[in-house]
Amino acid sequence: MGNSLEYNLSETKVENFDWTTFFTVIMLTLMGLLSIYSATVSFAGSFFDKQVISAAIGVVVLISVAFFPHRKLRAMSYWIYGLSVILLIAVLFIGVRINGTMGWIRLGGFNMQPAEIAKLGLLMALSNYLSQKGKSISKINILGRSTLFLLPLLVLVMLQPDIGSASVLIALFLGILFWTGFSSIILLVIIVAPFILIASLSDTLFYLIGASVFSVVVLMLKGRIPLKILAVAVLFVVGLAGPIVYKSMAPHQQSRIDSFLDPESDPRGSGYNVMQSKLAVGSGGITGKGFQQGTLTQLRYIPEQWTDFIYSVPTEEFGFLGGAGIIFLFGVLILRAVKLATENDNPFFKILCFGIGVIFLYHILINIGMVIGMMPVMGIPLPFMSYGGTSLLFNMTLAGMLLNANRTQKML
Amino acid sequence: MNTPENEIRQKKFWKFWLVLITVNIGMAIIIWRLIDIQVISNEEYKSKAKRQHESKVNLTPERGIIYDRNGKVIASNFESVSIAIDPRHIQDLRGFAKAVEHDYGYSASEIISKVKASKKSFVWITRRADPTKFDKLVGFSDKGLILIREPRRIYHYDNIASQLIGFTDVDNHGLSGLELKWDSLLKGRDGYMIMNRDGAGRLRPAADLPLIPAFDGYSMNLTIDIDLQRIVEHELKTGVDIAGAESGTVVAIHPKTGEIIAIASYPSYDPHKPGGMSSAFLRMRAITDTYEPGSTFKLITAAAALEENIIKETDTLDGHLGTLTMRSYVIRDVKPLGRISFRQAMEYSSNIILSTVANMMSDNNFYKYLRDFGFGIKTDVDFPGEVTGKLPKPKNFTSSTKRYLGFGYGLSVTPLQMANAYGAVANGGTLMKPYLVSSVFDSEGREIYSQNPVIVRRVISEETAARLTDILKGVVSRGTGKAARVDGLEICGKTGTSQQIVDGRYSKENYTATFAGYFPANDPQVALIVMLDKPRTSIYGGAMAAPIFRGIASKWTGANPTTAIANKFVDSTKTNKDSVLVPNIVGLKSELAENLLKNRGFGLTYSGNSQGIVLAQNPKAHSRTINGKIVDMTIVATDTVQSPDAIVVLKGMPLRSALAILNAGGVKTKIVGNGNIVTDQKWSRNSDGSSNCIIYSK
Repeated sequence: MGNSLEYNLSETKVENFDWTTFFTVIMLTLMGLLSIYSATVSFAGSFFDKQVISAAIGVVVLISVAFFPHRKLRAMSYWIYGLSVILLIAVLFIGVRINGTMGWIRLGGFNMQPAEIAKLGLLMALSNYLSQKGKSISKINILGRSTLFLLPLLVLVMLQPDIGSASVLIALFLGILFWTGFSSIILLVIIVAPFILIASLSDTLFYLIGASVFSVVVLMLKGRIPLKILAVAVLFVVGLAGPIVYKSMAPHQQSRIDSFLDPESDPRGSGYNVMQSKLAVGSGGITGKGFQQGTLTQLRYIPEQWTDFIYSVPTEEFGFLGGAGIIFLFGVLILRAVKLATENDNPFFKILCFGIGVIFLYHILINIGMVIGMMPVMGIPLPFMSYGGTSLLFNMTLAGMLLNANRTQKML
Repeated sequence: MNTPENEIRQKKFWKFWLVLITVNIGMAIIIWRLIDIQVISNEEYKSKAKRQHESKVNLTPERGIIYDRNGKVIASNFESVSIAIDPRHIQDLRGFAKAVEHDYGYSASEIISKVKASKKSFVWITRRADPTKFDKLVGFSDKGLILIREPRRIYHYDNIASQLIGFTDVDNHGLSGLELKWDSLLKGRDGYMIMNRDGAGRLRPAADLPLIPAFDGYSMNLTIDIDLQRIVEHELKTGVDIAGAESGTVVAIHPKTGEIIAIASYPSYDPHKPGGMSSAFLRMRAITDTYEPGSTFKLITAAAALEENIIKETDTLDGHLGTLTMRSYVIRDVKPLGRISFRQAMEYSSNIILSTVANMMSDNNFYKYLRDFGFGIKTDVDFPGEVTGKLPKPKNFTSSTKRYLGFGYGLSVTPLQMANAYGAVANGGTLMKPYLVSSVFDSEGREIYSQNPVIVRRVISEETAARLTDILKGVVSRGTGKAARVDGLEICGKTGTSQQIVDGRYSKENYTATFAGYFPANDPQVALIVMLDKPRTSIYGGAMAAPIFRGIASKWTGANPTTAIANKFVDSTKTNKDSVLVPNIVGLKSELAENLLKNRGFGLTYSGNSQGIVLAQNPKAHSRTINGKIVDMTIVATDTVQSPDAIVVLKGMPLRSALAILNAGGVKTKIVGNGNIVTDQKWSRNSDGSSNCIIYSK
């Protein structure tokens, strides 16, 4: 096959460099730096300085990954997976506890977050495994082995405990299953089940309508009849079991679930951040209050705003225009990823790029949804923008992989 | 073409569109939500945010200062500290309660239960406390502890002139006396400042938020001479005690102008603790209460009769040996007198002869003189609660009315009216309007009101006045007023002893003893009335009131009465309370500071430039100093304040002062931290040449 020659040639070229993705990433990173600066300028914190260093390293990482020989990249997959398992074990012993989560390893002046590396490890390992010839996910043993990649990471992350990162791992796993041809009906059940559960806890009528609509959709899909019946049955069981389990819980556990589902029911606890970030976003208006003029940001109404709630800074200070602009940039990034996943001829990159798209999409929907009060509060950062070196380097690596995929692809 | 590879490709193509639609729906939902809260509900969120972080802080003005006629401070302010607890935020309640145990009348456990019992966000622990007590709380930082610094009224002479000055309530509103009468001018106008409240509930000033400075109250100069007032009150107290009287009143007027130099009632009260005092102690009785004047009123009868040529000093009249029996009533004298001259009748205070003289005048004519001397009408003195007194109108006169009026019965007068009438005689026959406030000026010393002497009317001729002066001189040197004599000082005066009406009858026990007069005879400077209510030791004005009059006159005039009085009673004993508060001038433009100091009688020296902004002052603001002391101002040029190169050292300065200086210099300021003292500063220059300063305050 002449493929190897072509790849080697193109690997030395810069022609296929994806400037759109590159600039999108740079702009998001700069937007993040501005937001972190604004959120921390009113007190003497070193967050901005540290993030600038991370960003500089990040750009180097981005370029390095982009021009890394793609086979070597693929060859590193299991090593990275292995490293992430080691780090996840290590963090439980030598880690630093921040806000109740044992999630950081102190390295010099920086805190490294192994959970971010675990996301990368799972992504690469699954992409590598499932892109090998004959590894069809529809085979039960392949599905089982794929699940074996997920489980150790999931357990270790939950031990910290870091629900946000765990949910990312699950979302990524499901996304890759979907892309590699797993049964749509089963996936649909898995994805819809949490929503049905939530509906059954909040409103019976809501639950019945949702479950009925979903049953009709399932029955209309192609597939074996017993599977469809099983799918519908599972949903009804989940919907019925939810309230029963809830009622048997102790009051403090119930109130935890309540405030998870509806943060505003607990304005002094977890709802406080959401209430304040909504105020910040809402009071920003169309054009915003101006850089460093956001009153809620400058008066520090949103605790640790520079981490998970960073999106409330640009939306308050640059308004709807700033907020929508950021969504647009993320949209560009995700569509690039999905397009590469569709068009790339390299099976490893096909799965990898889709996984990258899933990671970005999931982070963005959950994080921004949380900031504007549509999603429950989970510790999920906003890619490229939230403060945190490991997260930024992780996202830069993902973006670098997109660049790499674009650069090395053979135009179909 | 249905190879497995193609199938996969097609499937993935189908999935591509599904994913594309999913991504776009997700983004669209977020965008819609942003439009919903940022565009549609923007106003609602905006006002909610504003309500949350903007906090209006009232700025309390400084109440005007009350000075006496010589610029001595009678009433001023000092900074007090009010302490409150926010029960929702207090962290170390036990520690706080222990720290202030018994300072404010509560035990630690009482404080704890008081705070815990409250459902409000604000529990007062104390209001307007002495700031020295607050020292121990300086290191006590707790966000539930609220300290409010407010000015509080201080009366430098305590009881002296207390009914006159009055007092204020805890919110600094005037409740009585001059504090009440002039409250609208003294109180000033509240200012406010919008401050930002941060997420931790701390207040932060911000340069771009509205600030309406408090407008300090107007200050005033009184006609009162506080040293004379003190002498008066001392003599009055002694006299009241000796006489065993219920109370006593003194009014002293400068006859040429109508300025009230001293006005007092005893017993008095401490204006710092007016609570629980009976209103009898709080009233300015010389103005708000009346009495039946008795013999002191004979001067008025004499004035009318002499002016109308009805009688001369040498004309003799029948004293009826002490008893004049009319058809339905009897007039008696204390000392039986035969046929004597009118002058002697005045000296011995004959009721019979004066009633005879009064009866010689027509009703209307006699009444006219009484009205002209100011009886039965308000003097319009600038003090609240003045009463008119009662003077019967001629149409209501009965056959005996004039006879009784002639020696001071059948009417009621205020001591002020009486003193003012004597003042008219002392002033050569011209009645002046009495007044207490000579000028009012704003906090920068600009006069906004001044009271000049007001002539009410000429009542009698100068010649008549001189003759009356001669008669009254005789009363003191030879007659009933001997007890008022002071060596080397010619005093004119008249005694008075009047029965009080109890249950509609003249009492045989309750009397009013008075002595009214003026001095020195050749050029009267003071018209003075002393009145004792229900003296017990002796009932006679000559015996009880005259010695008080003498005591006051001799103390005022000292060893060399004539010149001393001509010098307006200057010599008086200074006390350590004769000091003034140094105003705060840090941050003012130098011209303004200069005006302020000069107007309050300070001298000043400069350090640094002579033009610019006051950077420091010595002595410090709000410290006490003797009036007229020099204040040294360290002044920095305006452009120095503005320049990032020639940095003004703000470190260690109170945040307020630093802000004032930077504001005056037109420097844009940002504050980082929430302390009270500047810990660091950072300058930067704008492209237009102006500069920014970040003040750190930890």
